Amino acid sequence: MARKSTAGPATDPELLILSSVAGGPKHGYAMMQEIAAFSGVELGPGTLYTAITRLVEEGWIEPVEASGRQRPYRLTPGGLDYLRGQLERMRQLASFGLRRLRTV
Amino acid sequence: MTVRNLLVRAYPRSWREEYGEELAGVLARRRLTFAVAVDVLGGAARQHLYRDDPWKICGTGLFAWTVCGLLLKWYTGAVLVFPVFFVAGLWTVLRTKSGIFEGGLAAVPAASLCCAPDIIAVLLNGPVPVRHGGAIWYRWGLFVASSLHIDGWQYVELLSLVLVASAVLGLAGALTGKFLAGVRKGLHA
Repeated sequence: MARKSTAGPATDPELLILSSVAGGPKHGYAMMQEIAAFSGVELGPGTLYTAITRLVEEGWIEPVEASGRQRPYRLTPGGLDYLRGQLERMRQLASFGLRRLRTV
Repeated sequence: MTVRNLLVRAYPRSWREEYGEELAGVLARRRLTFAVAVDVLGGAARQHLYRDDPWKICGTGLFAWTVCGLLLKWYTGAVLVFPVFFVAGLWTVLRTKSGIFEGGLAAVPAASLCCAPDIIAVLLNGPVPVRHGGAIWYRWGLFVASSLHIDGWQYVELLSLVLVASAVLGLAGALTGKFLAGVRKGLHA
């Protein structure tokens, strides 16, 4: 349930989660709030935990031991590389698209 | 049991053991709307697809299909279950990377689930002549040319045929799965 009027890589739940935990370990609810604040995308709990499950299985984030109901997750070195690569591709695409737009 | 607990319980047990408490915590802090419930159920369906054994998913679908076929008296729909046996074998091999026989035999429990509603219908209704449209007699009787009445032994034969057909189609699916896995490996090499 990534609700926004537009779709694309900037609303991809996995990239949004990786970007969120790049700022430090966070639990699910904190991710949802931060993602809504910085991107305007409201991830539903089902979408959020589908993405978290996949990211953990890929080894891009990992849970941090904590007491209580909410378990924080942190970015792994592999996740950092993946996020950097994806954002770099998005930057290249954005600058290419913007250059093209200047000629229109 | 609250709606929130029911939503969490929609997920597979193995997933719940890992993430269930966290999801329950997030749900407890959010207003529960229809959209949120649909989102959570969608997530649960995806986890079942990723985690459950393919034969369970195929068998559950076939069970529901058979029940619908019986209730709506759409008996010709029984033919459509056979490709699912093939899919069960194919999917098992691709998902679990199991052997051909293991993959092929995965279709048999799916076929058993498929036949279960028919067996229950016969137990409840008793034997009914084919031409009167009685549950399994008519349903599987479609495959017996010019037979208007099926006795008990023919019924057992038909069920056995369905199980054997599921094993054969499951094996064919498993072989196809092995072939596709080989092609995929070759492409990535």
